Amino acid sequence: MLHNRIAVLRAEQGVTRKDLAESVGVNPQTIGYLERGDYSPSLELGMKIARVFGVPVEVLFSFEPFETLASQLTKSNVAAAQKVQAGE
Amino acid sequence: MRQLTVLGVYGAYLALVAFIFLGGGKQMMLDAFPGALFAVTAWIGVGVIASHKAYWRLANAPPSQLDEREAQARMGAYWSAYALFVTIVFVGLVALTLGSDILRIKTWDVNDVSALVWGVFLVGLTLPTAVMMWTYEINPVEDDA
Repeated sequence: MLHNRIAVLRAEQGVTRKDLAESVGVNPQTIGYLERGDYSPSLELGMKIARVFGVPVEVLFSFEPFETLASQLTKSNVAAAQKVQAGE
Repeated sequence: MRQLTVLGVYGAYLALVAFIFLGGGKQMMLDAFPGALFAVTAWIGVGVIASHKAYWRLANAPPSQLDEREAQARMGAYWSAYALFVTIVFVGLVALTLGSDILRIKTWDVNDVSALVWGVFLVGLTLPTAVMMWTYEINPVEDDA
């Protein structure tokens, strides 16, 4: 299964499914299928979506599940706290 | 619900064929125009399947109007429909062979041919859409920010 960050990037950049669908030339339902992981896009479609968000395709798609935002924030907070404790 | 519609359409046609050929139409004078009955039932079946517009579009729209996911879904449905159609034809041929060679049924009248041809018309026109209605869920586009 191919994991993706389409929903996250779409929310972050305030892009609706319809807008994204129009930008890459697919039916809006297809964006929903992609976000739910029910459909793996062709390389061409994947690269078109990455271009819309202005990120490399590997930022958008992965064979491994992406870390959740909460987990990433927790890790960065712990790292920051450790730096403070270490007196850096 | 979609599956029930598919079952209803094909079931109704098969039931009509059985009803007419088992002589049930005689009391209701339906045996006077069986060809028209098969035609009307087949067209109603096509209309019922076609009324599921999203599925009908997916199965019948020109390729240029479909995106890659829809084209892939259609290809899968057409493959399944083809396999199903070949199976139906094979079963029909076996039944005909048994009828002809074992039961010694040697004559076909125009009503038999009419039932068969209108049945093939119904199946040929609707099977890909029916396969999609049976197996594929079209999710509505959710509103979002």
